[in-house]
Amino acid sequence: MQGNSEEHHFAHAARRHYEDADYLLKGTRLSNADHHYGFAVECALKSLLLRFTAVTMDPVKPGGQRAKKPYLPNPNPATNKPARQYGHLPWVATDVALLTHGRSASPLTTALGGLSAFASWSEQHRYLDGSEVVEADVRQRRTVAQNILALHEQALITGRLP
Amino acid sequence: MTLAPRPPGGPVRFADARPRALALAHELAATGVDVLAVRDVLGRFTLLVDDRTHPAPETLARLNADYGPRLTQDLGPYAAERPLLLASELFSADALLDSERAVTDPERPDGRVRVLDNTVVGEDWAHVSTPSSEADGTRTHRTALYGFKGGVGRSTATAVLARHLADAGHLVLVVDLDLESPGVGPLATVDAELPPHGVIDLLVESAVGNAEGLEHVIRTGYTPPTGRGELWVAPARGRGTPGVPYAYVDKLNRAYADVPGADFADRLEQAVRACEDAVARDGDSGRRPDIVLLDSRAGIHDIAAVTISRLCDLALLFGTDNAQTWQGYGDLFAAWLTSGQASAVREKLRMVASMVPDSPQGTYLQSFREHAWECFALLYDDLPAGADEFATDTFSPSLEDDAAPHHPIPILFEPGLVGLDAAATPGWQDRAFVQAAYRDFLPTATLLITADPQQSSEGPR
Repeated sequence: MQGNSEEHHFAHAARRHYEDADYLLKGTRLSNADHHYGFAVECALKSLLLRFTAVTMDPVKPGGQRAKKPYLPNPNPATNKPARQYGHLPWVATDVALLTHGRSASPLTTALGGLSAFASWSEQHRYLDGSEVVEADVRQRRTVAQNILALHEQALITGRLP
Repeated sequence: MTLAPRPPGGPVRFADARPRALALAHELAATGVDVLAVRDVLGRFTLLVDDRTHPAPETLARLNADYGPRLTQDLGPYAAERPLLLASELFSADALLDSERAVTDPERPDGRVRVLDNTVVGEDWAHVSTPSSEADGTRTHRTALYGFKGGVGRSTATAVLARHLADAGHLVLVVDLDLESPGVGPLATVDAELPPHGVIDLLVESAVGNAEGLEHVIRTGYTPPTGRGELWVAPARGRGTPGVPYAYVDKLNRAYADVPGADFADRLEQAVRACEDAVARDGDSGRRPDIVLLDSRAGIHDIAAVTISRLCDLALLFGTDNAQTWQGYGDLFAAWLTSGQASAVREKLRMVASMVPDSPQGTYLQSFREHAWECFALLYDDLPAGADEFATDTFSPSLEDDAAPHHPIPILFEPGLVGLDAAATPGWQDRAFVQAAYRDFLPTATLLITADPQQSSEGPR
């Protein structure tokens, strides 16, 4: 794996966002802790998608620039429009369904089921006054982030999804 | 230990990486830490230092700076992206360090280095166990019939053996686990119709919790002359339901799935037990089978891995005396050796020389035995120099030992058996040439199958 590949950066960013979120949570700075847990999960999932699926950041058009977001190429080569793009959370189950393939599909589906905890999360919340953030939600999202980052870490060491 | 020699200027290849990674792991461990060498599915290594209970010593303070470049250089493309890690840096170190799949480096069993191998398929080869007794204390004898190469008469032998055991008064169940090329089901069923479902349906339906009510075993039409034994069959493929396509390939393509809480090995084990339970459910006597014959598929395949490593207490290894067969068994035994399973698995194994041709003074069997012995040397203990073979605890049978795993049980080559259409030849098993071909195999196999594995400390039983 190249040191400067996108998946390399996502993997390290996932860890950094998670650690910063923990740091903020310890100081009861809930809103920004919540913000960083969401980005930690987003980065870990993008890293997994880039490593284990057909999702890519290659130029969408031949000779073009590398894509800004990971995307799933369109099965119809005649169109340059990606079949799916991966942006910020929340993601729905179908967004990560690509990862669930082969023998271990079902256990992974269960592990990723926790993503629903981010259904009400939005990166746009960083512009809000923070009154909407409840500690119980943040702690729940922390647990989910921890599970997904652990899954990501395992996948990097063992070379496969659980 | 020194690093494996590297061809000058040549690239690092898959098999070079393991000894090099383990050499460095032992070097790290010498500083007083436990090290887990994790190999990923593509063969890349990560060395994980266990500092969960005691902090790593000062000498490892700069773990990555001091050892990282060397590891990356020695392993080339077989070094992981982050090849050196401290457990304390990880989210999930326990999942790796406490994994049941981690085994002590078999070449240095006294050391502090363990290996955790991750593969795409075949992990069950590396986890040998013997089935436990039933809840009621009875023991079902489960025997696998396996051949590294197909086409050596394994399924025919299974059918003949099953009937012989039923003749001896046993309640016998034959399970066809050769899912990719089912065969023994119809062969052993005699006059009865196959059940509507098969083992394949059990695997597919149980994955969605829908196995209740499947009819996947059938009592065959065979009545032993003694009137006591019974012969049952669980075919891989059932006869199906009228008007519904069987979709065998669609089912097969899903049969190997892991589901939450049960990987494929667990599921195959549950399927075999479900077949045994179904015999008790459907039979007049209400008894479970006391002998189960598992017709495993050929080759180094996951079904065979689970069947031999986990489901059986005796595995009959079929082969003919040729280079491909011994190469294949040699590769398999080498894998058992490096995964630390040699002593656990060898007690289960016994060679069967199938299709033995006429040869003067039994030279064919002699040659077979010598080649088998050379292969089994991988699994046998080295006898310390000057030691008495009988006075030590080592398991090191001599070439001549006729109870040893390498000693072949012969099935004679009989041209009439090749291409025999069993379904169109009622009573084929009673023909004199069939009986002659199996005259050594049947009594010897029966003795091995029905012996209590707990009572013997030496040999396969």
